[in-house]
Amino acid sequence: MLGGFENYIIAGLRNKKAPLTVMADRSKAEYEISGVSETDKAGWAKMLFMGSQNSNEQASIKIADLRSGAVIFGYSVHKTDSVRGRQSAGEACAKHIKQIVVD
Amino acid sequence: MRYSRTLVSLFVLLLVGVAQIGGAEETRGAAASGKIPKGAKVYVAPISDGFDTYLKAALSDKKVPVEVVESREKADYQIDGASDSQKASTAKKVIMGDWHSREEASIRVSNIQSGEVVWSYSVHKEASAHGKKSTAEACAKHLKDAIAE
Repeated sequence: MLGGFENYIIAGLRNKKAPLTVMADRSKAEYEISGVSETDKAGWAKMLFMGSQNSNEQASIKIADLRSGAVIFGYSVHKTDSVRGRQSAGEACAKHIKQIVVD
Repeated sequence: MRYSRTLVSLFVLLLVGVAQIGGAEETRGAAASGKIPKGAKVYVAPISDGFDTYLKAALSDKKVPVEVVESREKADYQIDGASDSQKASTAKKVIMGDWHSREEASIRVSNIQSGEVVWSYSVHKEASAHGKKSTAEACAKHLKDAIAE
């Protein structure tokens, strides 16, 4: 994903204690996460008028079953004034992924 | 969309940007238990903005009990990641009175043999006193804690 956003999702999955095993090797995986992310850093106007230097973050991910090819989950997040930048967006994705996993 | 609620274990892969792991890896002594053993040989893959160099320095600085090797073939684990640094703009200096850069980084440690990501961490510093060095040391510090656990 652009800007290494996949690393933030992986860290988010660990942080949110999602009961998954993340594989770096596609051939060993059953499901695949792919997506896009975008960061809009605070400009001078935002700093001046809003008094905020936090960025705007947006990301969208999908999970596909590698065997059937079916997309089983999709999620997108938009954070205006993200306090922790991409980390916040990655953790939001991880939190919602966790919700579809059953122990 | 109805989600599959019967999954006991969900194996996932992050497709784009994931380093390719070779199919035939030599058998190495490292345990594939999901934990990073002390003294493990770790290869730090190149990370944007030369963050890997800061990370190597931090691993040494924080006395993380791993052996950093320069060749992937000799390693048990690989560290990949992403880093982003934004120097303070004139607006930030004038309006916010802040000279420090905005740093964020995220790393993951994967077992080369099994391909499993065994540990990961991300850090965000809105006003990093020591730039990339601070984020690298945060990563190293938390990795050390993970190994010591």
